Amino acid sequence: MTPPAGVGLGPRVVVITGANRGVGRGLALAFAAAGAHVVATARDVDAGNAVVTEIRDRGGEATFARCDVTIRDDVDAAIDTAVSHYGGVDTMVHNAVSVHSSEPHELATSPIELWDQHAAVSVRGMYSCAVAAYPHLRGRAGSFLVLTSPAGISGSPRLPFYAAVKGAQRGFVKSLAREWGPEGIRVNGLAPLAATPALERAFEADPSMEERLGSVLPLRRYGDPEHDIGPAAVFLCSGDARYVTGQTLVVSGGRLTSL
Amino acid sequence: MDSLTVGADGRAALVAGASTMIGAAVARRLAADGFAVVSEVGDAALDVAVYAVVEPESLSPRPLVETDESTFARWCEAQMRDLLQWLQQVHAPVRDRAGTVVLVAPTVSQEGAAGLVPYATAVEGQRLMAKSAARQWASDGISVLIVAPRVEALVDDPRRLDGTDALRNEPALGPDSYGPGAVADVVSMVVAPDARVLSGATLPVDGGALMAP
Repeated sequence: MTPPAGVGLGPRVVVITGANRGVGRGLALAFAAAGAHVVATARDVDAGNAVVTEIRDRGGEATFARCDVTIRDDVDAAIDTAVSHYGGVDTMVHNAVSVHSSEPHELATSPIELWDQHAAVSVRGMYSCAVAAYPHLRGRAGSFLVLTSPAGISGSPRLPFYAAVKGAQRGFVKSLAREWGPEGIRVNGLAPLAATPALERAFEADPSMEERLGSVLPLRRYGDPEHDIGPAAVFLCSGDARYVTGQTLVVSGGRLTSL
Repeated sequence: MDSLTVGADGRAALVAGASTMIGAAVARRLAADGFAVVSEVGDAALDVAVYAVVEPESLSPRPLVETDESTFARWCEAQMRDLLQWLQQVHAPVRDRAGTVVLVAPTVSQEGAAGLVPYATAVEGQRLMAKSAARQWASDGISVLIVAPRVEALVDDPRRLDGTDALRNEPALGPDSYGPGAVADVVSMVVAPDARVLSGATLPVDGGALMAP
């Protein structure tokens, strides 16, 4: 099924993981502003509900589903919420990351348990989101979007585990796009650089990072999750991007131009 | 090959995955180059550490939606985790010689392939782990390189890959240009001390199929 062109997002159903703060919250707000019905999922019930309330206060449509993406039943339940509230799923967005994602660590000495946490959320969680959403994405020109990172393209001297799982996500996106393309399901990645609580924590942990990063940032500011990152995600999941699949859109203010 | 004897010129190399076709070719080539070659990590300093381990089952084409959680864990997550634990083990021995780490990571992770989602995911994760090691371990004098064969070089019979589109790009150099021997030749080149300036680079050895970027 080929989606119509030039109609923007329309009243689509979007499920977003990690929608309680940062980029995920910005995506939820942006999708809702574009007319989507949003299922905002997170482990943090209060923060997730706050995002839903914010969307509704602006006249948008959203509901919350508590979801730990490392638990398959939670992911299935989030999909069920989308189906029961809004009649299906058009777009699945995997955005959640480990709560440790912005903590600098040593590849040589960091405990394997830290790796397991990164992988559980970013890799296993991505698998669960894809497999759980698949029956719903088929037949309605659905799409799957993964929030990856410039670190998953260039590698990272401070966040090697994070860079590895973000790289893994790009391998997943490219391959799954090829696999699902014949069924009309698009799979893409989005690599943002955004002003988020996670970035602030990274700056706190490494104060030199802010200046170093800022001085090589062509647009000279960090992206706003709702207004800079969100619209790019909305585009990738809209009919306007109906011929785009297997790609990583880098939305980093020009920070990364090597792809 | 498991006992470490000093090579003709005193250099030592570890090849993990020496039972794979590429690993075996690399081990033979490095031995011919004068390295003492071992396959297990010990306390001895290493000039070279090559990772050519692959879970062979993960090269069996299967749609993702027909891949259950435990299979995905073995074909994808475990392969990244195993590389991490190996990197942690070789870090000190390689640092002792300011040596070179080489990851064998097929180009399929850069191109993507239907039917091989868990494997391609794992390999791209491994590749970014290696790039990050190149950045983080540069101050230890360690160079980390990625050698990227055509995935066909990992299987004994290319028909095993029927059901994927992994071999869609023709190797410009033809069929004799990307086998395990060609991969071993390139590994031999990049472990030379002069090649340490290549750290972080991914070198395709696929007969000119990918040609990216």
